[in-house]
Amino acid sequence: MINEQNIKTYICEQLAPDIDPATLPADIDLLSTGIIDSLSLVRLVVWVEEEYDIPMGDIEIAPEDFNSVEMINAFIERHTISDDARTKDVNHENEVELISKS
Amino acid sequence: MKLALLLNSLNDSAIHFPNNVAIITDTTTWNYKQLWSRVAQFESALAEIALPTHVAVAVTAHKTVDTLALMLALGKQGHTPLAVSPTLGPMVKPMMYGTAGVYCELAAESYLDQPVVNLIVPGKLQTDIVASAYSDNTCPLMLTTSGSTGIPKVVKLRAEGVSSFFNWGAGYFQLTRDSRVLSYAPLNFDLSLLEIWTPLAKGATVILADTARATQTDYLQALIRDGRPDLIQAVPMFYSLLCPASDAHDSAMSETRHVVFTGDTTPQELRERVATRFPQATFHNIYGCTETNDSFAYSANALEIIRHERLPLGRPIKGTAYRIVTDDGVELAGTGEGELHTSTPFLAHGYTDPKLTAKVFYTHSGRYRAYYRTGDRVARDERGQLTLVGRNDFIVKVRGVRTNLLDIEQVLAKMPTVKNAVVIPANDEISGVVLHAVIEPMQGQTLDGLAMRMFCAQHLPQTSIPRHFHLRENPLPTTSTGKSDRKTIALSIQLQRSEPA
Repeated sequence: MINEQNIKTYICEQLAPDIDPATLPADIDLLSTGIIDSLSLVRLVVWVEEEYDIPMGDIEIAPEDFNSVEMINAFIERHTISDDARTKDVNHENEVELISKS
Repeated sequence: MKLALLLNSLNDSAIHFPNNVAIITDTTTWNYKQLWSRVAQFESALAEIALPTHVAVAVTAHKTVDTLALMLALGKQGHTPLAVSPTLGPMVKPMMYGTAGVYCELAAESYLDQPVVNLIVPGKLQTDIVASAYSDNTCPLMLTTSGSTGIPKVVKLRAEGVSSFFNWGAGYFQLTRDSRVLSYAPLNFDLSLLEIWTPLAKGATVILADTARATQTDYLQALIRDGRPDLIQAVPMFYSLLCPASDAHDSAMSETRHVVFTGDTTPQELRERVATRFPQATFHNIYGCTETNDSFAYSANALEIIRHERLPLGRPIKGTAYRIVTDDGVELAGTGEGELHTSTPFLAHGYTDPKLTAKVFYTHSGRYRAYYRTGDRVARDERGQLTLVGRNDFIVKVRGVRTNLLDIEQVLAKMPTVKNAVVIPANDEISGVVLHAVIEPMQGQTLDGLAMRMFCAQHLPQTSIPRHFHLRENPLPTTSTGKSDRKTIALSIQLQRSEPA
């Protein structure tokens, strides 16, 4: 929810200043309604990368990932959570390895 | 694509040059044998849809090899594909497909590398008269162009015209089996005829740019560096992204032989940057539209292309005739200005709606040939050279799509909260033309930017939705005759944009 609010604020302040963030539904299709276009999409992707420290160069981005505030939020959660999960998995593997060695 | 020349040529390439590369994407390289067998796989997948014989089928134009294969498979089975933008609004489809006699809309996908045909809009048989239009082989492909009512017009291309265009394009740009052509435009644009279908008909290689990354400078530079295309055709926006003013690494790309500017006016300063990047290339300013395809070409070397403040239209392409018609409706004999009417060997049949065709296509009685009123205003100088002056009306190009400003204003004015709406085009370094809507509310009403965008999305193509909405509280300035004072409004936007953030 906190991310969603943050995303809405960025879109409404930087890309579509005529829209009040409080009125922007999280599930509205941002591209088909012209709230963002292909060029502001690039700005949005760069912002998400910097704001949430997500290495976009290593990730395959589907156009749908940035369709709505909800989808962007899910994308952010997926890439921040999956990194944690990956670290946990690696730790778990190390543990298993240590146990089997001992 | 229902065109014997193309289908036979692809079959020949698959048999005699199976390992020649047909298409390069970011992830995969397809040789002619693989491409042709993909077409066959899509033919089998189509069997599950059970199409009636010889119908028009809309194809969601995702820019993929699978979409191309589906369009070819449809053509092989005698159907005429209509390439439609993946962002085409669901509200406009029923009316558009109804008048065009389109049976259904399909989209091509792969699942575990197997072709899948998805039914996007279910099948509906149109009236016999409309449907029978596709029973012969005279219309290989249909494309859309912006319509004055917000519903795209469907252009029926002519088989003979498309075949002639392939031969002209291959000859003019010296395409051979060794050539590599960049495809940057969306698949549903007429530019794809030169970028995709011509090279495939001639056994050359197409480099497909990824739509999702089409606005990233790094991606585009790598695409040209690694793909080494002989021919690049694109709108000015592509070149601004490829050659940004701030780019200190001016590495020359010397393998590209032909650089084509099209779709819009390319500013002199941008041409200078492009010429530095491609010092060995021949540059072309190509003028045309979906209804006529390319009709004029101005070709020059790097030194010559940067010399002009405005690029000339150049010479009519071989077989093209033109007329300049003045505001009085008479043909211009010498120097002066007027509307350009063209007659090219590539001329389309017209639109699927005969009433629309009758408005802009006509046969000149004295010359026994069909002309198309372009709506573009041109000037002819003492040397007979033509330059584009602008649109005859309020039509601008937004991201390559012809857009009528008055249509957008009319849609906005239908909102109960809106008293007056003026749409102003502004030039943007990267995007080309950006639309600003300036809105005056009905007394006592509050304006809501989100509601306006949603209203526009329901009634207009995506490119017609203004990027910026300026919601005013006071009446908009008017001229002495009571019309909206566009110049003053445009100036106020310009001043607002130049203010420090």
